[in-house]
Amino acid sequence: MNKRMFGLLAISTALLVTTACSNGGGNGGSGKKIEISFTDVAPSPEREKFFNEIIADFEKENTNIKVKLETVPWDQAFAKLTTQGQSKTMPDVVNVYPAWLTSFVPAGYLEPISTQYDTWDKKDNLTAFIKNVTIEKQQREPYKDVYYIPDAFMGGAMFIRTDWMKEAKLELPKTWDELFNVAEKLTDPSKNRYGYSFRGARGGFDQIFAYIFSVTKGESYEADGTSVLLRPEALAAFKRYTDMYKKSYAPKDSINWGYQEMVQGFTSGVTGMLFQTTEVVATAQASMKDGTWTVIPSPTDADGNTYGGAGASWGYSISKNSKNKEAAWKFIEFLSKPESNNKYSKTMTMIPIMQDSLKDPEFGQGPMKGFIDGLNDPKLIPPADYGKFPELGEFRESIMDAEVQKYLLGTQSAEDTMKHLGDFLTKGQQKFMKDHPDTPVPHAANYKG
Amino acid sequence: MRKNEPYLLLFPSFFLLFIFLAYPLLSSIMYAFQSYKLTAPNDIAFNGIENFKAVLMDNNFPLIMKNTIIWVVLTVGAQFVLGLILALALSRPFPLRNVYQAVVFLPWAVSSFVIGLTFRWFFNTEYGPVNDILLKLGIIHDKIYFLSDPKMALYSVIIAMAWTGIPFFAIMLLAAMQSIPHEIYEAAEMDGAGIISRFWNVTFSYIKQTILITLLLRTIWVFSSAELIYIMTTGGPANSSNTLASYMFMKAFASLNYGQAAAIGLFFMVLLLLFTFVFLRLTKFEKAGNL
Repeated sequence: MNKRMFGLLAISTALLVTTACSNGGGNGGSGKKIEISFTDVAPSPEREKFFNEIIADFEKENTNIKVKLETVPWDQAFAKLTTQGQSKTMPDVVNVYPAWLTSFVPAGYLEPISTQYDTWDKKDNLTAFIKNVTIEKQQREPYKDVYYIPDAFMGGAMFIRTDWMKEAKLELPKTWDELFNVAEKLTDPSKNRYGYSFRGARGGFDQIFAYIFSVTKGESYEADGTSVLLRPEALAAFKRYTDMYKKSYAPKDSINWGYQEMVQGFTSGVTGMLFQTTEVVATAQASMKDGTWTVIPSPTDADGNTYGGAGASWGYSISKNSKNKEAAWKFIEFLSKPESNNKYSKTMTMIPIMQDSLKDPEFGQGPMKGFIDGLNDPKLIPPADYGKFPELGEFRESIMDAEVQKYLLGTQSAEDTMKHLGDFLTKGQQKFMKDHPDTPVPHAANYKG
Repeated sequence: MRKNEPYLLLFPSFFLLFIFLAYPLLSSIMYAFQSYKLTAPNDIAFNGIENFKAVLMDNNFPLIMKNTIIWVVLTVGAQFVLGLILALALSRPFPLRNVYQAVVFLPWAVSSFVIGLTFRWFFNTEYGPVNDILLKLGIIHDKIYFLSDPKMALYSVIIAMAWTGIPFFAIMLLAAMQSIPHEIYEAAEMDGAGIISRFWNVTFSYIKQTILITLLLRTIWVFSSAELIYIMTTGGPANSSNTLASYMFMKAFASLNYGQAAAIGLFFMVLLLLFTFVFLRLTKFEKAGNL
């Protein structure tokens, strides 16, 4: 009895050990084929199809590398990647959102790719904005290194229902004032029509800030690091913009709207205007009748400038914990070469990063024209960002929208809302400036001049 | 050798218990006293009771406590009452009872993510069928903003949550009812007991202990359940449908502030221990089974 029990125990322990070993050996030991993982943070059927095709092409060219595609829904992407970064299980190649660098770089989750970028043969073919702004000004200047290669260029523009406009005998809005007027005129609750696709949740504050930038001339901080949200004119702008919700030019439900709902609101005919980025063109083309809508450049400010949100949509980067950094860079190179990038941009209706691709006539016509026109406008000034301090992750994910919602629901005054948000940003930025005296305060500037 | 044998045989289960129970518990207690934010992984350090202070002084805290109480009382109450009615209805044989029983117990087997997504669609203001049906029947004239009205959001989630839990009560109570000897009912009938008296003096007395233990279990589960809230409203708008559990989840996985989340968790555990103690004392649980 006694011996038998020990025998059993010994066998089971031995089994445990051997299975554990064989598991460990199976992944890394076989040696011949390298497997790298790639995570896409904005999955959709079209994107998945595109990436699967690109991966198949890539594997044909690099027979010793296998790419495993993983996805995480956008709303959970930041939290998941941060957790993976912390536990050193981030995928080898990851699609990051530029603003996440404020958290990921100080935490050491990403691998600098400056050397790879500087010796890259396609570097000089990048468009001026990508090279000067996205790579140099937004990465190398504040972080001392390059961390991602942009996937494509995404400009904001206004989607608008031309048939409703005709019915109401209105002109397409060019300025913010005209836009607010149109939002009011298009609203007719009896027909279940509202002027504006208001975004009350999950990134909604970014849309409000896009209008606040028009009164702060694109600046986000004063020279001493005080947030512009504490300026009285920013408060007035905040009230003006949120009036679209408070005066019901947007559906009452839109307080809970994120990206998906606001786009659905427009494409299903509930709202007449939608401020969104290029990739929505594909969705609108698929679900709306031709001739009922169009895309116009973002509204301008009274001084004639447009402080438009424009930048890289996402970027490909390599994680610090990756064991196959060489293979990972090879994959990024493959994704970024003009043929792949052109195909990607066409599928997602975004603007390619390579100069050669822009010559393609397909980008200069139809709804994409509104975006390209906006980008070519010499008066387009990309606004300053919110800063580079790590607390911004928390600000974006759980503070900014909840504060605004309290005002929209009437449980908190606009003054308090702006003060809470402004104080949070000021505290973060000023602490950051003390620790990093060399990094300049975010500043808005035209990339051409 | 012989002397050590019991310890050796006990070791595997204690080892597993340590890994899956003791270690997470101890480390979350540690987190609760640390500044532990994933967004600032280089600044992790002990900070005393800062996390508890931040959580308890939070402006949202009174609202969240109130929501938690409403959430638990209404959900468990509805589940119990409806579950008891269902169990009584199923306790007597009727044709196709087994089939019917399988169907009504189905909600219990559905994943809460599916339930959450389904109810979110039901209650959608623009495209949801609930508003559509009520409007077409002329019961309401304006759309109801189930999930975006701060006065409605919590109750809309409670409806979904109550629906999922009814079968659990029904299964437990039905099992208890079926173990009541039939002779007792016959004897009660002979003594002239009416339907109410039979229910109260026979059925209820016999299943009392099951009721108590089920109520206790459900209260703990409902209290700590966050997934339906997360899926249907993410606690919004502006925290109006957040409970302690969902707020903790948000702190950990949206704000990535593990320190404060762990502090809420610890607070939460103490609350539940207190509740269990008081509940067992008040109901005189150990005597409940003796008639």
